[in-house]
Amino acid sequence: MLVGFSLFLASALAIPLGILLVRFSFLRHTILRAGSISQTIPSLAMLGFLVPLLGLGNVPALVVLTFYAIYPILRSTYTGLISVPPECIEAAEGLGFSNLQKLGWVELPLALPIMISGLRIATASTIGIATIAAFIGAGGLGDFITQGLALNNSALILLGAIPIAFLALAFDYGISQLENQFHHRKKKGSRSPRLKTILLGISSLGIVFLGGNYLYQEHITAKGTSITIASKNFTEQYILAELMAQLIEMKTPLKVVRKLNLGTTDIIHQALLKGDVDLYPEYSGTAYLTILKEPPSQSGEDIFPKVRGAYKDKFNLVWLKPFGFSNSQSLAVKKDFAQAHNLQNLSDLALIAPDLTIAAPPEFLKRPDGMLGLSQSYGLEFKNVMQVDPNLMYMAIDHQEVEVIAAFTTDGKLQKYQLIPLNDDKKFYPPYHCAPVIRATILTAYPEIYEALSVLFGHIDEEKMRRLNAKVDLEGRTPFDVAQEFLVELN
Amino acid sequence: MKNQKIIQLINVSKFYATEENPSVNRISLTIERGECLVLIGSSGSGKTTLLKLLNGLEKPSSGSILIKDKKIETYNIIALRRTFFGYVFQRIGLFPHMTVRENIEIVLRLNKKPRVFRTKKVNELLEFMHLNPDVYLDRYPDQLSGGEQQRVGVARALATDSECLFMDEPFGALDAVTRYDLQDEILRLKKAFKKTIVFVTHDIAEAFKLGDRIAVMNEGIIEQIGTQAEICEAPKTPFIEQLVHRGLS
Ligand SMILES: Nc1ncnc2c1ncn2[C@@H]1O[C@H](COP(=O)(O)OP(=O)(O)O)[C@@H](O)[C@H]1O
Ligand SMILES: [Mg+2]
Repeated sequence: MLVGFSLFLASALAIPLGILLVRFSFLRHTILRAGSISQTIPSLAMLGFLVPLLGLGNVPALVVLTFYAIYPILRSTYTGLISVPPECIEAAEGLGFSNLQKLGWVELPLALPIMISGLRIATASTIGIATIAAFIGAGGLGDFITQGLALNNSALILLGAIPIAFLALAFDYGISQLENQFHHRKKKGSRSPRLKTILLGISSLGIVFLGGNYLYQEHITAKGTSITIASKNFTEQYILAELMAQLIEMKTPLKVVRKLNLGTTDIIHQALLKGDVDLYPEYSGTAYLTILKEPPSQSGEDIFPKVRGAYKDKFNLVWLKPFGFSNSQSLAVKKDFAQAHNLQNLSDLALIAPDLTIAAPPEFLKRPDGMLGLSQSYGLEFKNVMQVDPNLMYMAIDHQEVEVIAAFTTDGKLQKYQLIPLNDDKKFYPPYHCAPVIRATILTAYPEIYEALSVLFGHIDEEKMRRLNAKVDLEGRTPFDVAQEFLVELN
Repeated sequence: MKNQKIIQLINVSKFYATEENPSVNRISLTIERGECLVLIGSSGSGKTTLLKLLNGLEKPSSGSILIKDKKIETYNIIALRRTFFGYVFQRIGLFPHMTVRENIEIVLRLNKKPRVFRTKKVNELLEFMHLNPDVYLDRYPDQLSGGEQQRVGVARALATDSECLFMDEPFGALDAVTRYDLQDEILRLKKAFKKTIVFVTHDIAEAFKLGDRIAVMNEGIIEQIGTQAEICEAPKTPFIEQLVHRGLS
């Protein structure tokens, strides 16, 4: 739906612009060049950029999808129009067509096959990008894929990927049918009006659906008795968010809206500031380095109080009490590999790193508390660095495509893949205490949230967290079930 | 009605920015109602450019053009083209996405003529052009031979019953027999409807058959204008003398 609507919007913008470009040489090259450059902006970066402005959900997704669809349509409109045979244009003018009639009767119909090929390209890339939109909570089939990847659940991945492939095929088929309509000779004049009616029907349906959906969402949130819980896109976050969500549902009259699949720390933080998200689990170290942008301290001191103070002052966000475990980042290697090379500490790894390849998620590679700081502190130089999705990382090391991966110390998968995290012997990382972060206004309005969550505070240690993670990652249970079971256990 | 000036050119020149020499050079010319003026000349002599100037497709670089004694700029040129001028283009310019029927009736549609009227007109015109409507109505231009396309182009120009007809080498791609028949039709058309025709050709025989007057063009100027007799008896230049005797090669 999002795809259809953004294509519609992009066409509405790009086709008139394409027409103007043909009529006026003014700025033509600048615009076409800018358009082609725009295609090279990574879509995830674009999403991250838009969240602070537009919040989460359908709107920024629509903007991004539209943005990427505009250029192919614009380009093909322009190319289509300039390839209209000049004798046809001359004839239209000579016979007394007005400019508009010339456009509508002659130029656009003759440009249409090329324009449609542009639309096809736009469709394919839009469907591709739409799956990424799940990162900002726009939902859709991409949600299945990102969650499936996060939970290492291939059924879930396929559940998303197969319909998307079909969707792409269906769109493509639809467009090629459209193309045939115009290419092959219509036998009767009545055929194209019918086509127009169908198109009109589809697009108005789309608009009604979207509108309805939007109003429904508004309706839910407008009641004001709901709280939105978010998580980043990995297992531990899902479980913690589920735990909090279920407790709040159980012990308070509040409704919970779950947005359990938001891309990066930055996206969630921006959403929190905008009020699109009320509560999510965060790690003190990540907040310290990524959000507060403090330099790595290396002293190993507990930065939790500092972070809590700064969040209150700067963002009016409250850190509740820690869950009781610290999930530090480290690098992990296969157990037998560690034995063979006598690896225990990160310092040991630094010695043989130039012969090794590391796989890590993009975020880790770019963060100051990730690869950058780590390699400075330990003098780590790898032969090769692979940037992969957190979940593909494990596949990569399991298939021995890489020797080292970035890992979290509470990760249940460490056990499954027989990995051991290396010891941060230089204390590069501050402790990564995990705790709920909540908007102060929400906490004041619903103090019962604190009560509801208090059973979790200090009750999940590293061992427990790893066990919970393993239940999802290794046993294939859902975060919902695992959370429910744990709550029963706690009581 | 006789000898009424319908189109007048006064000292008209046309320079294209990309050309060194003027394509039309200080031409003065009066076209009278109901006459058939034939423009003949070698290729590149400015015949097409002259027709385009008359139809407003090109603006003169200098000089002025009068239609019925009023400057062409004072008219709504689009309305003029739709009702007063018919144009057969040298490059034909049929619309490839429209059937023969749609190509012929398009200007009638722009003029908001009712469907019944259009259908009748299209059928008449196809018959007139020696094309069987049953066969050709729903064909697309690329399903026609060059000669058939030209005839559809002529039919399209005739659809509006305009007073003036500009025909730019309309029969160039036709076989001799069809060409001969259609020349007769043009003469009939002229007689029956008193159309004013400006007809461009390469063929001196065609020029003599159709033209009340013949204008010989060369390098943007009219070297001589007159009846067949005047031109044959007193060719003004060696070029014209050669043309009269051997035709254009
Ligand atoms: N659109 C144009 N731009 C530049 N030069 C043109 C254009 N149209 C015609 N010319 C030039 O004007 C001259 C006359 O062309 P044209 O009127 O087409 O001759 P004809 O119809 O007698 O063959 C030629 O030299 C041609 O190259
Ligand atoms: Mg010519």
